[in-house]
Amino acid sequence: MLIRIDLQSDEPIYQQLFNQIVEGIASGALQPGETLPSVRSLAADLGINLHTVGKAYTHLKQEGYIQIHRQKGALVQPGPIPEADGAFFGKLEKRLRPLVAEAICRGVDERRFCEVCGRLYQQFGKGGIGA
Amino acid sequence: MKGLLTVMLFVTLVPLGVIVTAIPFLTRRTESFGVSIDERHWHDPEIRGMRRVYALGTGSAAVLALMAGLAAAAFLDGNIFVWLLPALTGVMLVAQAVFYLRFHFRMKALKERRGLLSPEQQIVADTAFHREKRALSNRWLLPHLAVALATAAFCLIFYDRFPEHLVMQYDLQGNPARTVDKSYSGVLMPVILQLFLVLMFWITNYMIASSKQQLDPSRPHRSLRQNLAFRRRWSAFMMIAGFLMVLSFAVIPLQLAFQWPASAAVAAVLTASMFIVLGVIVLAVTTGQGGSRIRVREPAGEPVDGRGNRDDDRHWKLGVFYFNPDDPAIFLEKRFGVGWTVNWARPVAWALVFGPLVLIIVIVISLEM
Repeated sequence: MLIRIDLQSDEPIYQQLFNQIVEGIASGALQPGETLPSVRSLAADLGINLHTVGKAYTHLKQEGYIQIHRQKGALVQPGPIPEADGAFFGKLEKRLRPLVAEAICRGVDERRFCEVCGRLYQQFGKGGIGA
Repeated sequence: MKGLLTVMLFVTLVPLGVIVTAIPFLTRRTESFGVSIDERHWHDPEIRGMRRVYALGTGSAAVLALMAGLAAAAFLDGNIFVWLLPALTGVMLVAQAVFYLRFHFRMKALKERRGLLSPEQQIVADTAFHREKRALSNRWLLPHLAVALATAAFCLIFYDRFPEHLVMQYDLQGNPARTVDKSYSGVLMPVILQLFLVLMFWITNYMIASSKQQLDPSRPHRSLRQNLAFRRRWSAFMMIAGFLMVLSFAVIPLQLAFQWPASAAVAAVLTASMFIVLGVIVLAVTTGQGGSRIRVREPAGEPVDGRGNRDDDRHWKLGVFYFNPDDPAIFLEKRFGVGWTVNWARPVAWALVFGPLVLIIVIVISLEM
C-alpha cells in the first residue's frame, strides 16, 4: 500500500500515518498478518523523525490494529481486531458530534449525512481507497 | 615509456570528462543543479540553457586538460610525469565544481524568483518496499572471496619462486622505483587488497539495498518500478565489476612468480578498469538517477496529479551534501549525479565513508614498515 503524507495538512504526520494504515486495513490493501516496514525504515523512507513513526505505531498497537514483535517486526493484526465496545462508540460519537453540528449549520439533513457515510462504506467495500 | 602515460591520460581523463559533463542530463527531472523543482520546469528554456552552458564549460575544460597532458607528455621529461595525471584530474574536477556551483546558485535564485516547486508537497512510501528484492544477495561475493583465497594459496605454495626483492612501485619509464625485501606480508599484499575490495563492494551492495525509497508522488507506481530496476542493475554491475577487479589483482603474484613482464599486471588492471569505467557510463546513461531514464510500462490508472516532491533544499548543503538530523536514513540518492550518498548527520555514515579510507592507509603504512 502507498502511504501519502501531506506536508501542508494541519493534521499531524503521526495522525496521517495512523489513519492511512487503518484505511489500508479497512479496504483490504493491507492484509491480516502482512509485515509492515520497521519504524526505522519507514521513518527513513519518509524522511521524518523516528519518534513520529514510533508514535503512530504505538497508537496502532494500543488500538489492536498491528502487532509488534521483537523478531518479526511490525505486522498487521493477524487475528481479529477488537470489536467495537462502549468505549469505541463513545469515541465515535464524540468525534462525529462537531461534524454533525457543522452539517446542520450548513443545512445538511440526516438523510444526506447518512448518504455520505454510506458512500464511504461502499468505497472501502470495493477497496477503492488507499489501494 | 611515454606510451603508457598517453594511454593513462586517455583512459582517465576521457571517461571522467564524459561523466562530469553528462551529469545534469542524468539526474531526476525533479532536480536541477542540486535544487528541487517540479518536473514540468525541466524543459524550461532558461534551465535548459544552464545545462547547455554547463556541459560546454566542463566539456571544454576536459578537452583542454587532455590536450595539456598530451603536450606535456610529448615535450616535457622527467619527474613531472608522476604529478601530471593527478594534477590534471584535480584541475578538471575543480573546473566542474566551479561550473556546478555557479549554476547551483543561479538555480536557487531562479527558484526564488519564479517559484519552481508547487507548494502542494507530498511524501509517498510503499509499505511493501522492504519485501521487494532491491539488490543481489551478498552471497554473490563468494566467488570474489574464492579468487582471493586461491590467490593466497598460490602465493604461499609458490613463495620460493617470488624474487628476493619485491617491486612496490614502478616509475612511468617502467623501471622499479621502490623495492622491499621479500616477506609474507609483501607477497600477500595483492590478497590484502582483494579482501579490501570485497569489503568495499559489500558495503556498496548494502548501500544499494538499504538506501531509502524515493518515490515521485505524482507517479509513485512508475517510479517504484524504475527505482527497483535501477537498484538491481547497479547491484549486478557492482558484482561483475568487483569480480573483474579481484581477478585483475590476481595477475600480480602470477607475474612476480613466473617473471612475466611488469606490463602484464598493468595491462590486466587497466583492462579491468576500462571495462568498469565504460560500464559505469553505459549504465548511468541508460538508467539515469533513480532509474528515471528506464522505460517501464506505464501502470494503468496512474493519473499524474502534479503533486510536488518535498522541498528539502535546506537539508542539502550546496545542493550536494545531505545533512538532516531528523532523517534516520543513512543512505539516499545523490541529487546531482547518478548513485548514492550519505546523510552526513548520521555518525554511522562518517564511519562507513572514512572507515575504509583509514583501513587502507593503515594497511599501506603497516606494509611499508
